[in-house]
Order: sequence, then C-alpha cells, then structure tokens
Amino acid sequence: MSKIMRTDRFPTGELIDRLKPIEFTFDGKKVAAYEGDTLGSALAAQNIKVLSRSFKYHRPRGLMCVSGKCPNCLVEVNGSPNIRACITTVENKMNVKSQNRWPSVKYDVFSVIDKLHWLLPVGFYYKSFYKPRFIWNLVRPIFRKAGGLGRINPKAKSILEKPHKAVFTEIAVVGAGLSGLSAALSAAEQGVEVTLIDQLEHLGGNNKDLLEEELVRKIIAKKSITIITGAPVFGFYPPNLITLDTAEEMIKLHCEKIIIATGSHEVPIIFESNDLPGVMLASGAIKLLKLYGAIPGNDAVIITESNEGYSQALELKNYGLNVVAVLDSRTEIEPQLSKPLEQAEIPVFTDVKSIQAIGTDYISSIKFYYADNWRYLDCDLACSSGRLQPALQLALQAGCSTEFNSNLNTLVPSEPPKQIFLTGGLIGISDKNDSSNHGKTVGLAAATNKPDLKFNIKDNSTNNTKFTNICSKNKRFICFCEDVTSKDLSQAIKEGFTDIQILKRYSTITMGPCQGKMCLTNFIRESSIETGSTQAELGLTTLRPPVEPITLGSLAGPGFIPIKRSPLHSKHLELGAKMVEVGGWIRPYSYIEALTEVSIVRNNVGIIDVSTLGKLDVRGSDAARLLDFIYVNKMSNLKIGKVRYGVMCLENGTILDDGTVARLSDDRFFITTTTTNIEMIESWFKWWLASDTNLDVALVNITSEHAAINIAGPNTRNILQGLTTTDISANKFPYMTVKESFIVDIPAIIMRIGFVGEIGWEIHFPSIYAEHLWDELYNRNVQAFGVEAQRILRLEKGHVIINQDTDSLTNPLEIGLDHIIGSTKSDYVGKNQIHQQYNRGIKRKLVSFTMHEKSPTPQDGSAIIHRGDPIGRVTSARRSPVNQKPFGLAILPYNLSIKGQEVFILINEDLYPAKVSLESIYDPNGTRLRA
Amino acid sequence: MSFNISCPTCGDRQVEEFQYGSEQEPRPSHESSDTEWNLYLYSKNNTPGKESEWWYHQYGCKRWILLIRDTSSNQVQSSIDPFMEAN
Repeated sequence: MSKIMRTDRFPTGELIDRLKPIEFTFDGKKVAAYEGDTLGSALAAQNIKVLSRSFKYHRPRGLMCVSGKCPNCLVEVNGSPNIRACITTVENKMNVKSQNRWPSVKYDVFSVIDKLHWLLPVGFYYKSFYKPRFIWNLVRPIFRKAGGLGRINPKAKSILEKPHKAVFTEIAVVGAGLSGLSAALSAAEQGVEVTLIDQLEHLGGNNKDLLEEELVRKIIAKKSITIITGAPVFGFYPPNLITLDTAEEMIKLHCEKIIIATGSHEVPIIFESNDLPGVMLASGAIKLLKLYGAIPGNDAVIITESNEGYSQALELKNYGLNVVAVLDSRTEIEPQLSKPLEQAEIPVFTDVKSIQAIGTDYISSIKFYYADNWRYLDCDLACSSGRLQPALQLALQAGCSTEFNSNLNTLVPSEPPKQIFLTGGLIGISDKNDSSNHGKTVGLAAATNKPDLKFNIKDNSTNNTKFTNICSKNKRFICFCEDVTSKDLSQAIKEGFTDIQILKRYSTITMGPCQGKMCLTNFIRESSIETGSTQAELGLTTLRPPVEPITLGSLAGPGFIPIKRSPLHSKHLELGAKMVEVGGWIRPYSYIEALTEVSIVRNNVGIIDVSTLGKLDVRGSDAARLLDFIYVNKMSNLKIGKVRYGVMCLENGTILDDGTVARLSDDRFFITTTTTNIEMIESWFKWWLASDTNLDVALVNITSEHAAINIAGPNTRNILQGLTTTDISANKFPYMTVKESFIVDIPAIIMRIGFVGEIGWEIHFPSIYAEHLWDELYNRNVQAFGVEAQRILRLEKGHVIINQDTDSLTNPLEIGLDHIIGSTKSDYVGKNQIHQQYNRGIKRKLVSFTMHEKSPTPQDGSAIIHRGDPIGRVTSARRSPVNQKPFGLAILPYNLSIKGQEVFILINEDLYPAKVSLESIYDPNGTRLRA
Repeated sequence: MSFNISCPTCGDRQVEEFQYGSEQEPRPSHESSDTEWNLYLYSKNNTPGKESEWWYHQYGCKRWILLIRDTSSNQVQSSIDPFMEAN
C-alpha cells in the first residue's frame, strides 16, 4: 500500500483554474488551493483527511458526501460556524477552523468519550444524571462543552439580512437534472411560463452528460423559461408557495403548478466503523476527481449492493485510481456487469456478508467475511456505492403520501395533490431514457391540465440482501450527525419505541444538521428489519422546512411592509430635514436643531407636517351612537363645531388609541387617530359596524386623501389671519372648536387644538394642495419643526403619546382619566373591566417628574428605584430647554404618585434623584393654549 | 400552516392577506355580571373542529367576514359578509 503524501492533482478537474493558485488557513496551517476549489476539495488534495470531530463520541470524521448533505465537514469560516466545507468555494485568505474539538481536530481530548460509550446509551439524557438532582448541574456544563457543533461568536458582525422578493410563475420545476430539464422544456413548448430552479450553480444535475447538455442548450434558448440556479428550495407552504434561498435574496415563488424533480442521492451503506475518514460515498469520490482533480485516495475498495457499484468502479479506475476490489452483498451478478471488471482486472467478491473498516485516524484496510472466511484488503479509500435515497422532503411537504419502491428498496413519494407533479429519480426512475420520457410526459400534463400519466417504468429492483453484522464490537453508524449506531437503534426498539415518530425523537436519528438526508432511508430500513414491520407500515417521519440549511438572516430580511411618505415629503427634503422612520412613515426628525425649533415655537410660530395622523370620516344618523360606544368618553353630547379629546379602549379595559373627535354636523364627525394605529382603528370601527349591521353609519379612511399641517406658537394668529377670511380671534375661534372653511382658497377642516401647548390650529385639507399651502405658510417666515421638537414640546405639556407612555396593559384610570367613571353612558367598549379596575383600585399611575440640572437625562425606559427595588420606569424623558433640568413622564406605583415624592432613576448604573409632580411643567393652567 | 380563504368580495385568497379577529361569540350586555364578562374575555372555546370566527381582509377589500373554519384541518366551510347577508 502506498503511503506517499500526494499533493498533486489528476489532470481532470473541470472547475479549477490551475493558473490561479490561492491559499487559505485551516486551523492556522496554510493550505494551497486553486480558484474554483471548494474548501473540501483543496483539503482532500492536500491529503488532510480529518476535518471534524463527531457530535457525541468525538470520533474523527472526513469528507463523505461532497455534496453539502452530510455533517462531516462542518467548519468555521471567518467566524461563521457550521459551514459545509465541501460546497464552500475557496476565497483567498479564508480563515477556516475545525469545530467541536480541543485542543486540535487531530488530538481531541474528548475522543475518550468514544471508549466510554457504555456510559452514554441511547436516550441517556432521559435515564441518567437526574438523581440526585444536583448531579445534573454538575455534568451539564461538561455536556454542553463536549457535545455539539460550532460556537456562535456573539461579537461577530451581524449576519447578512437578505431582502425578500415575491415572484409569480405558472409552472415551477424544482431540480434541473435530466427529468427536470425534460419536463421544463416540454411544458414551455406548450406556451406556458416556466421557472426552472436548481440548487447547483449549473443546469444538468449531478450526472451531467451529453443528453443533459443538449437539453440545457434548448432551455437557455427558450425565452419563456426563467432559470434560477444556486437556489436551494427550502420549503413548501400551502397553497402553492415555495421558498428559495439565493446568495442575494430570499425568493417567495408563487406557482400555479409545481413539478418536483429533486432526484435521489447516494447515502452510506452501513458497516462497522463506516464513519472512518477515507470511507466515502462513491459519488463524492468521483466528484472530487472529476470536478477538482483532487485525489480522495490511491487504493479504493468499492462496497455495493447494486449495479451502480460496477460502473462507479470503472469510472474511478478510468480517473487513474487503483481499484482494489468490488465487494457486493448480492449472490448472483449478471455476467455483463462483471465482464468489464474482469477486463479491467478488478476483482469482484459477491455474497459478502460483513464488512469492517480498519484504521485509527483514517482507513488503512477493509476486513470482510467471504466464503466463510475473514479476509483483509489494504486500501486508503472505501467507497460506499449505489444505495439511493430520494430527495422527498419537498414532495412530502407538498402533500404527497408515500409508497414502497422496490427499485430503490425504500419509500418514495406518491399520490401527489392535483397541482403537484413528480418525476425522475425522486420516484425511483433510474434509467436515463425513462427519466427523459417521464419528464416530458409530466411537463406536458402540467402544461395542458391533463394529468393523464400512463407510464411503465422499467423494474430494476435489486434483491433485498444487506450486509449483515457478524462481529459487532465496533460501531455501525446510521446517523452521523448525532452519532447513533445500529446498536442504539435496536436498543431503543427493544425498549418499546416502535413508532417511527417516537423512535426518531428518542434516538434523535434524523434530527441533526443533515435533517435525514444521510440517514432517513437507512433509518427506515433498519427499523423495518428490527421491528418486523414493512417500510410502508412504518411510514416516514414528518419532514418539515427548512429542507436545506439557511441562515437566520435569510428569514429576518425586510418584509413587504411599505414605507409611507407624506405628500410633503419632497418639501422636507428640499429644506434639508433629517428624516427618521416613525410608525411606518418617513418623517422629518428636525430641520435645523430640535432645541432651536422648540424655542421658535414657544416664542414665535412654527409649522409641522402632521399628514401622518390617521383620519376617519364618520357619517350617518347613528354616527354619534357608534362613537359613544367605541370611545370611553361621551361623544353624542358634543356640540356641532366642537372638538373633544377621546380615548378608546379594548373590551379588557386597556387603552387602544387616542385622538380628537370633531363634530362637523349632526350626523358627521371627523376623527383623528395616532399615526401608527390608523389601519388597526379602521378595522376596529368596521368590526363594530359588522357586528351590528343595523347601524346607519358610513366610515371612510381618508388618511392619505388629506394632508395636515399644525401651525402653533404665540404669533400663529398673525400669520393665519392673513391667509383666511374666517375670523380666528379668541372669541370667534376658541380652543377645542372646529370650522370648515378656506385657507388661501383651499377647502379645509380647521381645528383649534394644541398638542404642543401653544395657541395653534391643525389644518386638514386635500393632499393635492399640500405643497401649495406649505409654501404659503413657510414663505411668511414660519419655522418648520420636526418630530423631535414636537416630542419635547408635548412632554413639557405632559401630553401622553399612546404606546410610548402607555403599554398594552395601561387603563385610562392610570393616565388620569378618572372622570369617565362618572359617565352617564349605559355601555361602551371596556366599561365592565374599567369599572372592575376602579373598584379594585389601580396599582400604578403615569406621573411627571423633574430632576436636578446636573443629572444626566434618563433614557426612555430607564428603571425607577425606590428603597433598592425597581418599581417603575421612565416612559419619556428629555432635558428642558427652559431650565436645563431633565424631566419627563414615568409609570410609578399608585402609593408613590404623590406630589413631591422622591424616587431614584437608574442611569448608566448610577442612581439620580427625581421629584414627582402631578401637573405639566409648562403652562399648567393652559392660559397660553387658550389665548 | 397556510390555507386559502374565500372572500365574498374578492374571491379565493391566501390566508396571509387576512387578519384573524376572534371567535364569534355574543357580547355580554352592560347588565351582565362581572363573572360573565370575565369568562367572555378570558376564557375562549378554542375547540378543535368547527368554529365560527371573525376575519378581516386587511390586504384586500378591508371588510370583516364570518368564517366557519375547522380549526384542526383549516378547512374553511363557509365565508359570509354580514352586510351582504343583512341586505
């Protein structure tokens, strides 16, 4: 056996560019690679065989599937854990580290666990370390350190959030192998719009050949086929949505019909020590050679139970490997299979009973039972060949059931719902002609709405012999992710876990990073043998999304919530306002400096764009009755031309929203709601209307139809009187009244209200005139002010912002609306619970507070401490532009909401005193407001 | 889990367009006892099987509809617009 360290490559290698050498580090050691290499192929070419340590026993593991499915090559790349080395393209200077090992992947202290496996039987976490109780606390930290995958680095920069995109198509074809290509082309030829998706970067699948290449050419030429490659489909969601994770975005593809052609892939054959580095899937070894010229080993033994092993043996030989032997579990082999191997001088052993891989860190020989004798073969590569598992996750999520397929000796999806079509290796078709023809038929059926599929598939069923287990000292792994052996499985079944779903949970088979991709078929097969039930009787475990591993960033990307812009948006930009997102709207934070803006409003006059306020037009003979019912305040006694502040509650007595109600005529009201809540309030009103269809009320949300500008400050009257013929003197247009009138010939609803605490009017008018009126006001030397100035101004006035100064449990009594209890209304939404609350007494209250000018300003949400205990929190706080003292609103226990009470606020881990006051710090009597 | 809801105004649409409101249950009157109110508010039926529910077509016609939905299978058996029924 040759033990020469080979770092050169074979002349094969379609994907690498030998003219562009690059390098990366693996556990601090430099590794040479070529552009186009994956981490896995470069490491294999450098003869680095041990890439990771296993989850439970810390056994050495190396490349196995080379297709991103098995858990053996998970590494940390540039700080991101659990990256599959075999499908990650090398970039220059990448910093790659092995995982779950200490101190190194080659010498791992925890590998001693492998010898202590008797301590950790299947389901050990259910049966040991729970008595006496303290023992769990002792062993838990050790388990946490010993078991597991990569470590998340909390300091790593935030993961990439991918934007979400919605795409629509008539037919989606998932999988661009032979059958998928045929189906896509035949469907597109019927004139329908097709989207062809594959998780590989290229079309044609894993077995790309001349036949596929010809189809790919035709498909690329076809305009009606959209091609998305490098996009794993990670989930199906009813009624007909599939989700794709591409490098740049997460695509939600809405389809009318879906053709699933996800194919099948090789899975390991189970024999002793089948996890040793150097034991690979034949398809993986071929891939390394064919695509990268990387040499997985020099002397290969092929272990097979199907015809596939013979062609793969020849393929490996053709690439230049020394194929030591083919070991077949079957007894009778057709001569046309074995003949080419004879010519290639590859010995074939049939009726092989038991196999064991031998080696410490990687395979050095194979021991097998043949003709009543144990035999040994030296090798440095063992290829498990020809056991296939259909990639059925998507098909099952889409609602297919399963049936036993004798070709694959496993369960395949069947009976698809009417909009789902299945083809190819997924349903056990192995012959190339069959695949292509079946694909065509399915494509036609999907395109023409004639799901009339009569198709005879060639039966290649293999006989069901398997490698038995004569000597059983060594572990035979079924699940590589969680280190579950066939012994564990039979133990679990002996303990009574015979239902496949329960058996899965108890043994944790299929629950690791591969999510069953390497073990599902083997799991069902072995369970079927152990339990004596057929595979069809056992059925499958539930296969949930995600089918492919995705990062949380793909899911956390921005959704479809549109950003709203006021009709005055471009005016704000013209004025150079600093913009900020508030409640789904982009609003000006400030134009010059918030404190300067505050001072101008207090001393002169300012305007603010309040178009974002929710606006409802409510009309009808029962409008007053409806408002009486929805608001906790009485509205039916509101006189025409008057405005009232109103609060509405949920039926549980907590505050829902607030705003103004203006009565324009006997049966017509104009309502404003908070910026954020309008959609919810519209649905809230409509719900009560739908619950009593006899009410004569019509309701229209006119939020976007109407712009609104608030003009406020002591000089407001001088400015506004120049723009309207309406008398706005204190007597003719007093506080809390409304008029429908004209301002510079613009029809408007003008309300005299004062959120910021100065004399002012809120002007609501059609959006199309927004910029015109803004200019008229602005050109009269009026200062524009933003949301920050408004927040300071209203806070000085002690005006509450719902959801800022209240939370989802605040009731009206806690913000000082006690007078509603005396209401003469027989009923309103929330009445019962508010009255119950009143009778029990409230526990907390919203109060104002002020601090010493030397204190720092608390943040919104700072804790309030009394006698060492946290007892409340600051809801809003700013520094007063008048006296430089921090002040704000806070929620306190009821017994402490007394004028002059001293409490402490926690700011940057220090306590600062604050004094409770029960009235606003600015103009508490409202003389300025009513002037 | 996702499913379709047939909106009486807009037709068959995905559930994502709708907002769940509540179980349809008669509201107690203002004369009902505190106990009745507490039960109405805090004790939902939430039974597996057919439920009568309010849903709001948030991203469509913005109308409330009444569904009869099987909560264990998400099969919608009927959907009505109370205003259409009233007229």
